[in-house]
Formats: sequence, C-alpha cells, structure tokens
Amino acid sequence: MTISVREKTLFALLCVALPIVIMGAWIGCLSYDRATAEPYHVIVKGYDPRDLLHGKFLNVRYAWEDARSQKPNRDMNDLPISAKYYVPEWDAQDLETMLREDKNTFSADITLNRRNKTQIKALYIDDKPWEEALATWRENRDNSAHE
Amino acid sequence: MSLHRKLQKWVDANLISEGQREAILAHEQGRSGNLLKHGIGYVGVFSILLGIALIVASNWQYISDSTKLSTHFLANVILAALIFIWRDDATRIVHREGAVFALWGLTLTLIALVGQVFQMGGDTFSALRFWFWITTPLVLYYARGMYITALWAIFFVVYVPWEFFTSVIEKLPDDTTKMSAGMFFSALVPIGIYLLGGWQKLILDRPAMAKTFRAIGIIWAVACASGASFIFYAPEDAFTNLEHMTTLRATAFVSLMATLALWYGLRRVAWLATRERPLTDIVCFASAMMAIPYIIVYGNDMMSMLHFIFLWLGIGYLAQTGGFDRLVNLSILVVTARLFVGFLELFGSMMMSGFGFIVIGFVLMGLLYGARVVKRKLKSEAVA
Repeated sequence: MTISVREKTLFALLCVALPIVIMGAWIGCLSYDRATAEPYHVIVKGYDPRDLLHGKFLNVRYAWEDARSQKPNRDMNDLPISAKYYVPEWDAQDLETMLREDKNTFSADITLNRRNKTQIKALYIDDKPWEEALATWRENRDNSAHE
Repeated sequence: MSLHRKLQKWVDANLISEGQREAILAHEQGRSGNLLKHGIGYVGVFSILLGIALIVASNWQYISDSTKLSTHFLANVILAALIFIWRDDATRIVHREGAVFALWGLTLTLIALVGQVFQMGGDTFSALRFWFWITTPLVLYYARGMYITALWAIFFVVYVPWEFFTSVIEKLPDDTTKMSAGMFFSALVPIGIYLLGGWQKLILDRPAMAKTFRAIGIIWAVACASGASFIFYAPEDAFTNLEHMTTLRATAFVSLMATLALWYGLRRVAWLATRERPLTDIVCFASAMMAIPYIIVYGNDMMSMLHFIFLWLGIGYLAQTGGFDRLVNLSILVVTARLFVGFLELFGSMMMSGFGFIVIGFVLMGLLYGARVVKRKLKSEAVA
C-alpha cells in the first residue's frame, strides 16, 4: 500500500494538531460551561480535619443547609457535597490554620451546571476575597507575636 | 580507559593501523567540537527560558486567568506550526526535535493550568493519562531522537501495564484470581515488550525506542523473576487465606509452558538478529523462572536462595554466550551478594558461614568444570 503525498501531509497535520485541537475544545467547553452555568454563593466548611489540604488544594464541603447559602431550585440530594479549590502553595498552610480556627466564615462563589457539577470561581473569608482576609490575618498574627 | 589509550592498545595488538587510529581520533575530535557548540547553544536557550519562567512565576498571582491560558495556548500553537513546517526539512532536524519536546512538555503544563484555572480538582494521574494519549500520535510521528522516544517508551511501558493492573486485575473477585492473573501478566508481558523492541520496522524507524523496549523487557523479566524468589519467604498462613491454590498453581504451570513454547518458537524465527538471541533467551528464561515459586509455593530460605542463584547463574551463562560482559559481571556480583546474605540467614555464626562459603565455592567450581566438559563434548560431537 502506497501513501500519497497529500495523505502523508494530512496525517502529519493530524498528529501535530491533535493536542492543540483537543486542548482548545476542552478550554472552550469549560469556558462555555462557566459562562452559562448558574452562579451561587455558598458557605463552605473544612471537609475533613485530617486532610484539609492535599498538596495545593483546599478541600471544602458545601454547607447547603446553612441559611446564608443560596439554594438552587433542584433536588438537594443531587447536589455535590464537596470540592477542591486550588490555592498557591505558600498560602496553603495559613489558610488551613484559618479554617481550623473556625473563627471566620468561609464562603464561595460557585457555578452549577446542568449536570450538577460545580466550579468554585472565588473564595471569600468573612465576605472579603481570601487573599485580602489572609493578609489581614497574617498582619494580626505578626503584631500579636511582637507584643 | 580513555580513547587514546584504547586505540594505542589496538594499534600495538595490530588490530588497527596507525592511519586508522588517526582517522578515528580526528572523527571523534570533530564530534566533540560539535557537541560543545550545540551544548552551549542549548544551555543558552534553556537559561533564557528559565529566566522567563521565573519572571512569570514571581508575578503569577497578578496575571489574569484568561491571559495565562491564551498565552500558553498560543505558545503551543506556534510550536505545533513550527513542527509541521519543519517536518521534512533536513536542515532543521535538531530544531524540530526540540520543538516536539517543548510541545510535549507544554501540553502537560497546559493541562495543569486548565485544572488550576477552572478548579478541576483532578488527580495527577488523570492529568498524566490524558496528556499521554493526546500527545502519543505527535511523539510517534515526529520524534526521532534518543531522549523523547526513550522517555515515551519508558512511560508507555510503566503506564499501560499499571493501567491494566488497576482497571482489570484489581477488579477481579478474589485474591487468588488477582495473584494468578498478576503472575501470568508479569511473566508474559516482558516477552511481548521485548519482541516489540525487536520488530524490524521499529528498529529501522525508531532505533532508540526499539532499544528502550528491549532493555525494559529484559529488566522487567529479570526483576520480576528475582522478586518471585521471595515468595518462598512468605509465612505459611499467607497462602492458607487463598481460596483456590490449585488455580494459582495451574496458572503458573500454564504460564511456564507458554513461556517455554514461546522460547522454543523464538529460537527458530529468522527475523531476530543473531546478536539478539542470547538476550531473547535471557528474557524467556527469566519469565519461565518467574513461574516456579508460584508452582511450589511453600518453601523456605534455602529454596529462595537456590531459585535466585540458579536464575542469575542462568542469566550469566546466557550473557556469556552472547559476549555481554557487563551482564556477566553483574550476575557474578549478584550471585556473590545473595550467597553472602543466604549464609548469614542459614547459619548465622561466622564459623558455620565459613564452612558454608567453602562448600558453595567447591559446588560452583564443580558446576563450572561440568559445564566445560559438556561444552567440549558437544563441540567434539558437532565437529564429528
């Protein structure tokens, strides 16, 4: 069986384009999902005190039952109960401590798609973006250490 | 030994002429010059890329998700376009190889970035699996060099059986079936991997990949067979929990027979290069030896030592027939170490270990003498 130059070119193009096309399609689908999924603001808690941080991920549990959580108009049994949220490695340890202290309220902006899958878009501590709240918490910790 | 000294020895032994020595040295010096030039070039490019990566990393939090994703995706598209443009350009082979390597790696980092941006929360293995399958056509079609093809082959040989183990064997109903299937798989797959590396088309098109497959086949077979000898150390109650010992033994026996049949068949096929025959013998011999502890099952320290030593003596002998001196040396070293450990286990005291070593020394010398006599006899019969 002989392969024509055109077929060979097409095959070469297919091999090199495959990772690009698949990644492009994947990113496109995820972006579409994020843009069209319904947004909710939900209170989150530490998922498992022994494994709050696995590597760079913060494992959280959705507190759908909390009165402050926005509840979707769906069967509550079908909703996901936990999620992982990526945080930079150098912030992970302190976030874990804050979550363990239980003095602050953690909440998240999430999206919920038609297949009941969630994506955490933003994490808040006492209704402030987590980066800001973490910076304040660190400042207070350092001040009390100096005193 | 340096090349100069080695060449001088060959000249002194009248194996090569003075002129040939000079020609070889001139060729090697030219190669070294190119190596230095290319090496410095690669280090320069690597340094620039590392610098860019560090600057990006230090400002990572201030870059928006869409900027991160689009820039990374664009870099991948540019690399893919370059690879495609350079696909038949003989003057750009090194550049194409570098671009393939970069796109291969950057596809993995793009997957990680997507996971991070969209908070996918997936595990590393899923990311690696996804990356492996979507980039495999790229590597198989474009990669030619040692590094990418060998890396891909190692990943393939580690990942695919592991996937098989976790998705098929782990889901089998009971421990006996799992152990039987695992043993059968571990005994026959190395032969398959080795034969894949011996496939002539692969050797011609991707010599580095074929070589890696052959090496992995040998390492896998020898490592599994060596590990199997430790089955004899298992406490007796480890096997009383297994429901159907007959299944395990029967599978081991079928595996042994299948390996021996394959070995017999492979010794007769024409396409295996003569140089490769001793290595094929080693893979088949080790795979066959792997089944034996599973047939006997109940054993002791002595049986473990005997199985291990017999395995490595066999490997050493087969390596000797093919002139693979380093493998012969390794087998001698391994046998010596195992003997030492074995006698410490068996006798404990220095006095008894001393006697033990003397006895085993005589046994080994007797074996050597016997092998020589048999070889001489076979040779004389062949001549007659």
